[in-house]
Formats: sequence, C-alpha cells, structure tokens
Amino acid sequence: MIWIYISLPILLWLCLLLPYNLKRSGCVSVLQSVYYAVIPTKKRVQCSLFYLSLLFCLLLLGINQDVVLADETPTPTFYPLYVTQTPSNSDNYNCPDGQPSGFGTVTPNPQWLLHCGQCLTPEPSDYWPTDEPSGTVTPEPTEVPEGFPDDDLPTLRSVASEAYYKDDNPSIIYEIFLEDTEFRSDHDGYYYMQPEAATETVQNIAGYYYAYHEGRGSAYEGFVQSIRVNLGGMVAFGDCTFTWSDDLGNSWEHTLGYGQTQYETIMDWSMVSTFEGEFNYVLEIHYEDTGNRLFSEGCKVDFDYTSRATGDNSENWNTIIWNRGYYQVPQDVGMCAEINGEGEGEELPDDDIFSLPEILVGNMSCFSIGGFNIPLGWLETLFGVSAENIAIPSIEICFVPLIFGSLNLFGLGINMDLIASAMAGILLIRIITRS
Amino acid sequence: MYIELYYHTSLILFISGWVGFVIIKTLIEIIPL
Repeated sequence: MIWIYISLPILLWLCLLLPYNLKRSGCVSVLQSVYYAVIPTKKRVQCSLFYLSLLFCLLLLGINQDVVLADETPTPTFYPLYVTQTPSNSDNYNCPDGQPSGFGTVTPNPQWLLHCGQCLTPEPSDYWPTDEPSGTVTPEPTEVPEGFPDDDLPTLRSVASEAYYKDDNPSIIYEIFLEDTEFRSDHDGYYYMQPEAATETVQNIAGYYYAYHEGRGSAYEGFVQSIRVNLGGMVAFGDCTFTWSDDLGNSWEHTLGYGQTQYETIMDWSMVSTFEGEFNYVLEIHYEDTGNRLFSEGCKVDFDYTSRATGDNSENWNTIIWNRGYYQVPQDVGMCAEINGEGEGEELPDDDIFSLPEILVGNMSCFSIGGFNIPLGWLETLFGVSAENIAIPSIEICFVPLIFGSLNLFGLGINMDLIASAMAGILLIRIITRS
Repeated sequence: MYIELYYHTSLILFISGWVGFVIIKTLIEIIPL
C-alpha cells in the first residue's frame, strides 16, 4: 500500500506540473506538441514528449469510472478483453486410406495442398515414375491388437472426471478408462469422445469380451445365462449418435441432442451356458458439432458390463474377460479426404493464414483510497446552522495488465507485445540521447 | 468510485525508464563532480 502513496504524487507531478512548466518555456498547445512529435527537432522533442505524457495520463485516468466493483475472484490467467466468436480449428487433416477423392480429376488449390499435400501419393504410370527407389521395403501396416490381454497391448491412460471438460487437456481425444484389468465379474469402463473434427465417427473403441464357464457338471448345463451391458450415463455435447452392434445380432442405436443425457440403457441378452467363445462388438459414436461451446463438446458414455446368471447365482459362471486392447478406426471426414480444387474451398474452416491479435487482460490488482467524512456538526453548535456531514467516498483503483497478442499474416506471427516493448525502448533511448 | 487502469508492460518499461533517467539526470546536475 505504501508504494501507492509514493507513486501518486509522482503521477500528479507528471500529469500537471511538468506540462505547466513546459508551457512557460514555450510549449503552447497540445496540437503543437503532437506536430512536434511527428516532425521532431532537437529542441522540440522534450516539449512534445511532456505533452504526450499529459495526454497519456488523461487517457489513463479517464477509463471506466463508476463501475460496480465485481465481487469475483480473479481468474488465474489472461482472458479475452472482448469475447468474440472466433473460428475454431475444427477440421482434421488426417489422410484418407488411399488417394483423396478427386485425385487425377481436380487440380488442388494451394490451401488444400498446404494442409493435405502429404496425402497425395504418386502412382506409378508410364509418364510419371514412382518415387520409391528400387529395393525399398514397404513396412507392414500395424496390426490391430486382438486376442486376450497381453503386455503388448497399448497402455490405457486413466481419465479423471476432469477430462470431461475440454480445457483441461485439449490433446485428449480418445481415451478409455478401465478400472481393472483383472478378470472379474463386472467391469466399469469410461469413454469420452472429444473429436477434433466437427463431424467424426469412431468405431471399435474397445475390443471384445469373452464369456466362458467352468461347469460343475451336467447339472448346470442348460441354464440360461445372460450378459448385461449397461451403456449408462450417455452425455452429449453436440449431436451424438451412439450405435451398438455385436456378432450375436444385437444392435441398438440412440441419438442425443446437445446437453441431453440418458442413463441406464441396458442391453441384456441371454445365452445358454454351453456357450463358450468370444464375440466382437462395435460401438460407434457419431458426433456432429452444434456450435455450442457453453460447456464442452463431444460425446461421453459410461460402460458397465456385468455377467448374470439367471435362475442361478453360480459363482463359476460369472466371468467376463475384458480385453484391454482397443483400437480406433479414424474416419476420413477431414478436409484431406477430398481435394479442393482451384476456385473452390474459399471458405476454409481453418483460418490460420490471417488472424488479428487478440487482446487479453490479466488479473487486476486493486487498492483503495479510503473515504472519509468531514463532520459539520460544529456549524450548528457555533452558528446554529444545520448542515449534513460531507462524505468523501472511497476510490477503488485497479491496475489491469494487457497483452496485445500476435498478428498472424500468412502464417507469419508478429508479436505485438514485443514490438510495443521495442518501441518503448527506442523511444526511451531517443529521449536520453536527445536531452 | 471504481477506476480500472489498463496498462501494458511496454508502458511500465517506458515510464520507469523515463522517470529513472530524469532522476539520474537531476542528481548529476545537482551533485557537482
């Protein structure tokens, strides 16, 4: 607090006394000082700078008066000064399996080539030889993990409930959380889809499970057993379509709109106890962006697998083996799947070629100059004149840091903060050297 | 009354350098070397 009382007189001195002294020494008008700043001479620089300081101080002191002080905890980071609807980088640049559609018939435009040029693979022909040198061994594609859990399967990363929200880690796209990798009778899974693309479909997000029994004998054979799959807790932030199908002929589809939830969607099917084997299932989640960014985006579904033995709680028929392996089949729905030709694609969803700087404001640090009362009760005592006390309200002054951001011109970022600091330094050096 | 003062780091740099320069220059003029 003490520095405020030190800096305030300095500020007043800068804003009032120095221009007054300069006016005495020949600086007459503000316009004259601005003119001097544009076309400076050695004698006029000092005059113009002092008047510019006066302008600056007036600008500084005349902002946002009489605004109700918000009783909020300052956010820990910089946030936009003006919230604007900025286009999001909602497209993905995944290459399709094979040539993009339109290959050979459409001349790609430069912007498409910029993002997706790597997806074009030359085809050997009589006119264009292949780029592959002779003797090159083409690596085998990575096989999708199948079978029972083993150590070679990809490690699953745990997803805390905080990952439900987008801003925690934008890099989280597809993850699955399994509580346990041991064999057990039930299993909870958690899957959250946070697509990069505005429209994206993911399928085969989990492998398969396997049911078996170690029968005690013929007495238990023939009992109808069941496996219950509870797709509970579906939450949609966007238009989400959940589709389930498996090898046993079960299928199920449900569509949720933005913000809708549905719980306890149970798929329950039966099988005889003699069933022993495995079957695959596919869960597809189709996400379509609705443009609502209020909370999050994407689709979320909770898994809950339980094996049941109807009519019998046989403990030896209760195992579902959950395959830890999972794989994803990305769909070629990005802009690279189709070639944008010349004259097309002017409205690219990804506009990183040019972007205006986004001004951010940071945490404000406030101080208050306490108000006080001027008691006037003595007027009535002495002179018999009644007068109310004069109340001087307190002044709350908050300093808010700004960040100018960067200007993006054709992919070249220009740091406006750096330029401002450099100009301030240059101006300072100019003052020092010319005075 | 509530007042918000927006500032940029470059402004702090400029003002502090300017004030520092004025102080140093004044000291040099006052103190005979």
